[in-house]
Amino acid sequence: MYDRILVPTDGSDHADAAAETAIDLAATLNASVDVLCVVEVGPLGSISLPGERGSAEEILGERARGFVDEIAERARARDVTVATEVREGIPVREILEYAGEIDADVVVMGSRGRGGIGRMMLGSVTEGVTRHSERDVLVVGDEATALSES
Amino acid sequence: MLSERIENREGFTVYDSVLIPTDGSKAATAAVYEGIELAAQNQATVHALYVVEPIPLGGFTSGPAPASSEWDDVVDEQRAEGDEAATEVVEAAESFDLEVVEAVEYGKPAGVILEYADEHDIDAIVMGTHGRSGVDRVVIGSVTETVVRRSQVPVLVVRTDGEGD
Repeated sequence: MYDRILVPTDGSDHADAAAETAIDLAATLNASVDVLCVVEVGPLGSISLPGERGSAEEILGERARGFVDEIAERARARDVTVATEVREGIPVREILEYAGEIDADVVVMGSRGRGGIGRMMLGSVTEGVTRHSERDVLVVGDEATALSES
Repeated sequence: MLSERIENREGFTVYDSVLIPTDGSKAATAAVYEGIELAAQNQATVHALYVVEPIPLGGFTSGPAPASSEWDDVVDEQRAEGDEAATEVVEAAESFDLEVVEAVEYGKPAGVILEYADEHDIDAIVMGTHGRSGVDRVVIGSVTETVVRRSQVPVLVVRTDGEGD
């Protein structure tokens, strides 16, 4: 039914729960998983302040690679074929665009994201993707998050 | 629930029971088939749910007939429609040899769907982007939107604009 599953992540527990669901689904359907993290940097993102080890762009990019790698590892442990991608830009737009590029069959996302300061993805991102996606969207709610935390 | 889920992980089945709400519309029907497919992959029980939404003025009458008789007619008609829509899901599920539960409930669709999911230990809900009242294909229906927002369990929103499969 689905061959290619896209999981955007922002490293939050909600995204983690969504990733777990995506991996479960991929294992069940014999599909592959693509993990995407979109780094949202402001207009001053490329400037590095004295005393910091890099610009916001570099630091956030590094963190994003950590997020996607961790999920990729979990997928590999279940023998699920997986690819990772880190992009910069506006999350909803990048997710929709990437879904089109790889011709994903379904996008799996948490119902909420990181929230608060330093957010890369919020519930609004899921809402935007659900609204505008030309593909199916599987929205993973709170129950799964509670399970993955326990 | 947790142990059950862990066990399921080993067996590679994610969902034991899939809820497919339907309003008999074309968009809902597309979601029905994807929902059934998902259920089939998981050997899950399918719950077919039709929600009859009471019309606010359904009981209003200006003539001598008692309001209740007219109201009953409206409800009967909706009920018949609901049975038909739910039966469509039941037949599709049976063609995949899946266990299926049929339900027709009364109330506000989103609230009833969420309540039903909770009461029946549903693992996933599958629905179309919009139902009967959908106008624009990029706009997600209010029922689907509310369910996505408030559901505790995963909701698969099936894109039904006729493009692709």
